[in-house]
Amino acid sequence: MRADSLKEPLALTVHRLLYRSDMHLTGSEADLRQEVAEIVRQSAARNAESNLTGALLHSRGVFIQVLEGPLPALETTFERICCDLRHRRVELLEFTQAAGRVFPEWSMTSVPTDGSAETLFRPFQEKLEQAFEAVSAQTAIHLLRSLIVVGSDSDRAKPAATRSASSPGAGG
Amino acid sequence: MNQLYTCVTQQHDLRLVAVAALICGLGCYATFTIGRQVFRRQPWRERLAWALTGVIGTSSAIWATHFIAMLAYEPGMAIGFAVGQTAASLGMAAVLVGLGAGLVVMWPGLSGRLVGGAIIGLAISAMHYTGMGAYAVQGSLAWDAATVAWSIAVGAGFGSLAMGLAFHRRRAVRNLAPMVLMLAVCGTHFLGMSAVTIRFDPRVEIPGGSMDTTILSILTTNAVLLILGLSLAALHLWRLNRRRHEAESQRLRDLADIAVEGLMICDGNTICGINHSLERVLGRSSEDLLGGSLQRVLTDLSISDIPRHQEIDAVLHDAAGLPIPVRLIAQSIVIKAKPHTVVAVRDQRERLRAEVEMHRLAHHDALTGLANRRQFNEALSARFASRRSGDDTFALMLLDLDRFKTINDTLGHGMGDALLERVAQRLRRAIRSDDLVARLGGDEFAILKAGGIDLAEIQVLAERVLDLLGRPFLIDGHVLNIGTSIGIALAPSDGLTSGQLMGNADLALYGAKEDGRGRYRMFEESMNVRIQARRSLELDLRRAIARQEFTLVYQPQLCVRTGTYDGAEALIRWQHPERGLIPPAEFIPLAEETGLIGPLGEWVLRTVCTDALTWPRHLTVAVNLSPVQFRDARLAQTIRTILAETGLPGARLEVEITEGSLLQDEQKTLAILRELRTLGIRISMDDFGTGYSSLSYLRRFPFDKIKIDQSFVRQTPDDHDSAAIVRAITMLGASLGMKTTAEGVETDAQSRFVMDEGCDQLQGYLISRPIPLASVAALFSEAFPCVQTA
Repeated sequence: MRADSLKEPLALTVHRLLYRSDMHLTGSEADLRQEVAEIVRQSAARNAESNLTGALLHSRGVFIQVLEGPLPALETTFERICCDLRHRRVELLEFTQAAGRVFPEWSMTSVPTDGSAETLFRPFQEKLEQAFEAVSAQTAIHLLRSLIVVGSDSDRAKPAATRSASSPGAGG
Repeated sequence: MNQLYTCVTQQHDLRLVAVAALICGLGCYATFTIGRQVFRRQPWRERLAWALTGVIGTSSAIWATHFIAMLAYEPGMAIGFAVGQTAASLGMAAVLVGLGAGLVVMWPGLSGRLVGGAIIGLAISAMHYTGMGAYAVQGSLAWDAATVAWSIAVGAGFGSLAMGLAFHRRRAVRNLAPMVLMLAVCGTHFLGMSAVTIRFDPRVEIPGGSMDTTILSILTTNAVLLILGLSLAALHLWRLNRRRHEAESQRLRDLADIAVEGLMICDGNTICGINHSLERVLGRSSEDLLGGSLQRVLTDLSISDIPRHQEIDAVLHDAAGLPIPVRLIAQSIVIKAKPHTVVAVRDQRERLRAEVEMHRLAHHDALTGLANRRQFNEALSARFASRRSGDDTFALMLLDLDRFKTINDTLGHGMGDALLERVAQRLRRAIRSDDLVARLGGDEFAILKAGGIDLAEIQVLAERVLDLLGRPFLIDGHVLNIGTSIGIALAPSDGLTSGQLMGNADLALYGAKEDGRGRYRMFEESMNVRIQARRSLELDLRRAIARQEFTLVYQPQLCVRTGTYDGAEALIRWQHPERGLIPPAEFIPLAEETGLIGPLGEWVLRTVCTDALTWPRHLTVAVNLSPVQFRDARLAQTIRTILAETGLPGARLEVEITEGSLLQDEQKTLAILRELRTLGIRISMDDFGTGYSSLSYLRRFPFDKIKIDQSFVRQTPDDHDSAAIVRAITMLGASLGMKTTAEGVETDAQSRFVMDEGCDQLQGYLISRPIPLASVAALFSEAFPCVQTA
């Protein structure tokens, strides 16, 4: 099912954006985990309708999210995020037209940040925080993708909202 | 039968028989046509009148048939009638016909009709034989009992049949009834006559006063025809009248139904008429309401409550019991000689909806749907009013979007509008439900925060607004970053009236903008002090031109290629009599705001041109032009005049503009620049590297020179970023054929660096500070001893 949309119709160009924000949620670790899972679930449902795909990483009070798809839907969704008080200090790190999707398999998936994957990511994230300009957004986006694939291979954290028909590892 | 035939043909004057038959036929016809009126739906009095008419008509017709037929009878001897008994026979007929008819009416159903009809039949024979008792001939009468019995049976039978047929559902069958009744009358009479045999007896005396049969028959015929004729004529007139009446009512109903207003005719509190319009409004059919009480639709009003001369507001209830706001007015009307009331009902729902919509439009901003200035002012006044009644404290926030004007100007009003809509949406998210957010106009917004003046809460709201509006806006593929400045004033401490509070919030907003935008400021009393200071500075500024408190200083510029001076930039100074030297950064913005920049700028240009004439003639003088000066379309003309008056060649004048001049109205600015270019004036882009530094400006206008902002030059050569920028600008200038000037050169290292990078001109403390005219003139004449001044 998802594999069909790997090839976008010619008329539909894909735009992609990457933003970061402070998480503005209160509660215990477990509550947060649950709330984020719920955000990912809702986002996946909405995105599936508007043909958006992407990934969300949350770690130490920060969201980093990639969204990609047709421009109008992307703008609508980003505006919704910008109206959402669960985010604070939203910063758009990249917004560009793209040749294709990096996350074609996921309407929205949570990037696993446990164990080795997180260790791998932490210095990167700090860099993101401090001087994003120095880090290529492209690199960040592809690193996010690797984290998802690695995370699912190690079977630590299944993507929270994948299409039932596709397995994350098979998406290539 | 034979006997009957002989009786009719041989013993009767056939002409009179024909008259009798005519009367009989007419009578029978009248019986049924008039009789039908009794069964119509109409008042019982009318029905009774028709019943009496019918009974009299029928009985007189029966009697007349008999009487004229008796006159037609020719026994061949003298005859006479006993007047009393003849009259009695008429009376008997009337009574029995009345009885029979009464039964038919009162006893609905076939049996009633059959019995009633039979009684009417019996009335015929009763009348006949009573009448025969009054018949006197000169002889004796002998009766054949069997034939008599037959005559009675025929009368009753046919009478019964006639009534039975009269109510048949088929019209053709009903039309047979008068003929059958006629058979009953004629059958009874002529059978009765054939049952009698008269034997002449001269002894019998004819009662005296017997009249001539011809005269009698004429009289009788006339009388009965008159009765029947009048009855039928009355019926005809009644029908005509009724038809006209019905047509009139129909016309009235049609007219009422055409009416847009709802109309209701009431007899007292009973509804007796209702038009389509009102049926539609109520969602009920007229059948549902006719005859019902007015209170079914107007629960709390009676007919006497509805005034005649002015409308009142009331509430109707429709089929579902839902209230419908209406306006009512009543009018008296006479219908069928009875006073009625017509109630006109105007449905107010559409009007009220329109009013609500108009109110909404008047109080809301059409673009964003937020409250507009008007509603905001009303709400603010209401807050103050309720506060006076000992209520609460509240906060007022004024917002100005940062950088909105630039976006509106560069990306178009469509984009500006889309942005404002989203800003409104985000503001709605930021506030609580009892706060009011309004668009006061342009990019100005206001929030009226309810619930006290808890500082922490106010700060949370302000920060939330700053955060939400500081987030990027993605519109049509553009990333727009605006942000907002917020000024906050608290009631009642910062203002006891709307005007005062707004003014102070505005001061706080001004403070937030001065602090660098993208932040909020609470109103402080010191702001008022500062604004006072500003006002007095403004007054001083106005006087300063006249008092000649301004002076110009000149900072020489060094040409890298020749290693010597090639001009100077003029800089303004204000020597305030009390405050001393006031820096341009403090008074130029004020001059721009107050419009004093116009005369001030003109003074500067005139002075500069005059001063430069004292320099060697190859040296140029540079003057800064404010964006505000470019709003004046006559700027080029002014400069042309000044050049002509002072005699300075245009080629020796250089004007420096900042991006601000191009931002406001690019086309206008470019037109002025082109005109200046025709005068030989050189144009420099000042402070390049700060602000937007849009390369497209450089493409759209061929500047003669780019001046690299001193903030970059000062950081060279140590700061890599600044060095990179200086290098980039120099390369850019070289490739576009524009000269580059490094401003703020203070050290040898900086000088070496910018020269190595290819800068064409240096300016800064290393070369010279800005110095008065006399000094700069001396400097120049020292450097170029042999060169003449202009």
